[in-house]
Amino acid sequence: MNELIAPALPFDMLPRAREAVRDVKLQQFVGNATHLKDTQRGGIFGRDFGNDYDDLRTVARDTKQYALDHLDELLERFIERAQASGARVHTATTAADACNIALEIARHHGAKSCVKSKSMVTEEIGLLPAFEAAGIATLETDLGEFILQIDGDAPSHIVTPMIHKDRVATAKSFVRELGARYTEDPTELTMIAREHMRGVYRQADLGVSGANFLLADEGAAVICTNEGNFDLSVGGPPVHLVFVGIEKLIRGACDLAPFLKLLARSGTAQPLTVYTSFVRGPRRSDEHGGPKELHYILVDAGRIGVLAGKKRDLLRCIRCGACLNACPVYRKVGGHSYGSMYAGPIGAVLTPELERAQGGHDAGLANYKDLPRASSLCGACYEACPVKIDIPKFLLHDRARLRARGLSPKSEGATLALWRMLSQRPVLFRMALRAVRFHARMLGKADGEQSWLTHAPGPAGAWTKSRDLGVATGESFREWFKEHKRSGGAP
Amino acid sequence: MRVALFTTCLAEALAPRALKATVLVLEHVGVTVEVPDAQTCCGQPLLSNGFPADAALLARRMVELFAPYDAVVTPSGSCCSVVREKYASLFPEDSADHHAAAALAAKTYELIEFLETKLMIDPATLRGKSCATTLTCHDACHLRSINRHGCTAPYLKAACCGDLRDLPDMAQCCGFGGMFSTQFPEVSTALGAEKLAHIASTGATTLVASDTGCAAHLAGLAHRERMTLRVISPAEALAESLGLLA
Amino acid sequence: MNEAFLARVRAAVRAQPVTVHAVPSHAVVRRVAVEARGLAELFAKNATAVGMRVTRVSDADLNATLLRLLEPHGATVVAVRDPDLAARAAKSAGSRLVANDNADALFDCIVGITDVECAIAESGSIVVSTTGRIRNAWITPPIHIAIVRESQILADLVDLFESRPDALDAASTTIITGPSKTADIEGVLVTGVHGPAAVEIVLLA
Ligand code: SF4
Repeated sequence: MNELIAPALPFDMLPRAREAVRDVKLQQFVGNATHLKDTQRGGIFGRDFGNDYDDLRTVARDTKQYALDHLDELLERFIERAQASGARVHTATTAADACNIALEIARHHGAKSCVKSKSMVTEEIGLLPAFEAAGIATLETDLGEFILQIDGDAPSHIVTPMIHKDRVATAKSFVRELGARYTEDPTELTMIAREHMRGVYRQADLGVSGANFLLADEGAAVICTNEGNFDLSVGGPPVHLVFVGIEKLIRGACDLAPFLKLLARSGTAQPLTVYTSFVRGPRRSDEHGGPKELHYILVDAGRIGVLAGKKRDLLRCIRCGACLNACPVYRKVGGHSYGSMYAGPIGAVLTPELERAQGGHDAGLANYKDLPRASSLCGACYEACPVKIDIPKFLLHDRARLRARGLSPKSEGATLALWRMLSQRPVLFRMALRAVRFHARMLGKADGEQSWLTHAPGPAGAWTKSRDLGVATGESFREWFKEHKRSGGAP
Repeated sequence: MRVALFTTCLAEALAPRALKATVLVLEHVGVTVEVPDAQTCCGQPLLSNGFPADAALLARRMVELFAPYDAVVTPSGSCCSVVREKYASLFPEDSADHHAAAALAAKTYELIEFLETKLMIDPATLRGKSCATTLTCHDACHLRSINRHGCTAPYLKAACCGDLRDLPDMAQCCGFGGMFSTQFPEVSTALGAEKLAHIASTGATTLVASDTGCAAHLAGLAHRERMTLRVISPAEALAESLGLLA
Repeated sequence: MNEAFLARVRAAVRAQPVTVHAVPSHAVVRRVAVEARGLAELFAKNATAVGMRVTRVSDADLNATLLRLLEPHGATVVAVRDPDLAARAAKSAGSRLVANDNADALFDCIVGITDVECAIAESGSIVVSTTGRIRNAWITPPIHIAIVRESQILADLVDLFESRPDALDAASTTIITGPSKTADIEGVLVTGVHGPAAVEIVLLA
């Protein structure tokens, strides 16, 4: 698997974040694209839902939470109805199980080539490397994923996977890997990819996709794309595999509308994705196209553990990417800094939680110590989330667990312990404030009522590494207030 | 109505002038302010950095300290949001502490919010001397959680605190984030630099920041970068235009 | 195997309290009322906004319109469920017509003509399915011509699920809202990635 999204553990975020901040191009690409999408999202919801936007999110939140709270019933119904439609349903507990099921099916059909449409869960389980190892040539058909694939790169955003990459890198990789002539024109580049892939669609033995929603009542899957690559991936090859995390289940088409209306608006400011495709079983006897076999591979890979834990809410995520676009930290550090296919705010909580659920107690946090801290807690993610996942709350939860397990830096803990002690002793607290004022007067550069420190001692030293610290050195507020009261309130 | 000032530790250390301004503005609109002596810190640094149980102890202190008052007002948007949005969740639901924390939350206000929603003071009536300063305003991100993000600038504008200009991309965090500022200093300062660039683009020489932490971060960055920028609180902006503070 | 999996899901569901006992009302989801007037205008406006071209014609003008749209193009597949419309579309296609019983042949077609299960005014979408239509006739050729009758226009996406659930009975159903699009390369919008670059809607009064 690509080291960018599946790094050696434990993963250290800071070096990658530092490098990203210095990467001028990355700052420009990711910054511009995320700002634009975030603004457009606000625009389309304002236009189409106005003051009802918040209510719509509440409806979506509760509808999805209902599904999670009744996931066993829904799963049972889905399996039964999908089978009735002629599909085969498999369940996979681990990533390896999921890959093995697919390999078994591929072997059975002697499959040598595969067309794949975008799917996060297949990234998660490492399907591509498994297929490649088994000699099944696999083509990513989503344009962004395709470019990343041929350039040996990895996705850095849930919705716009090559947000960190530019046309020049694309042009070079097309020349190198496809023997195309050099062009930087996005339309021409897209057409080169189109022609390349059309040949492959016609001959592939196997189609693979993810799903955005599973409908229990209908035993059907819903797949949203803008390019139409899913429809081609499912339409040509004789066998199609849908990999899907069990959290994608909802009651049925009756509950789908709020999610469809939210998904594309939140992700790309469209009223709906261009193609919203429903799959309901394999090719029927009177049909001329479509897969003769349709397999659902329902993936756990930690989800059942998440469902059972305190962070069930995270499974509401519909992978719209809005929280990434809204996040100031994501905008600065880019997706690869998160060391996971799930970047940004949702990734910061979901990655360790999925890992925990698969690896036993706290394995997740121990492996991703920086993720819960990589947030200014500004709340932009929560505000943007169409299913109202309170990501800051879960970050706080993880920070407490890091602390309780002794996984946070000790020096910080010592500072905070001192703070806790002072905060409960008002007299000492006042004295400490006085000491700060005194030190600032001695060490800093006076500037009116303030003193500027450029090299603060102790814990404040980390602050003054990159900015000055202005401390008020004049009369304290309490002294002023006493005097103010004594003089009868006149200023 | 007995009104208490919730000073916040950060403002006492770094921005006493914001506290003075808060007292003066409240007195200007006829509210007498009391300052409970024993208040220290609301516990946000502990809560945000993995010590919720210790934060709960401080929350309990705050609840007791402010019990006698009808309203609690603070110039700091962030600390206000902790009392409002986090305190109750530090205690088991249905516990006495939970209810007491919820009661404190219900009577705690950020200053501008207090003026606008509790006292219902039309900002036009706060119109002071015309003031030649050019300002721009950045709201604390935590005002989001109390539905007050983006409310400060319009109020100040209506109160005519100088030439107040819209800050482009105000919605993006300034990068302070409490201890985040030292845990991810490169990211924090990069965000701060972006904010300063937006501020500079408005031509304003004074920034109104509705949280002491954000103010210290941006002022400190500007000072390091030798950018001339005065950073004040909304309370000071009002007090200055009303002639209550020089 | 599935049983053991289900048992684990069951246990996981029980491990936390149920917080939502009933699905809330979806009233706020609807944007356009069923009884709203001017659905054809709204549909045409929204379909245009997402990048499809809408031509409004009378039923009598269908053939002339199709001829005009097909004129510069070559091989055409007709995937029309309605027998009357199918015959008229085939007639317009004339010598361009290719047989519609071979999915692979779609790759050699320039135009796919379909009718629709229904259309949605609120989002400017059309809905096609594999019932009576060869799959992907609306995806594979670079041009898609969709014949829509005004009477087929639903007010809101919600209505597709509430009043036309049969539309989802097919092996495959697709809601189409624009031509095939990508903005993967530096956010520059390009149409016609995998699906059609042009979607022509012939809206019959
Ligand atoms: S957490 Fe919310 S905003 Fe983020 S990707 Fe998931 S659904 Fe979208």
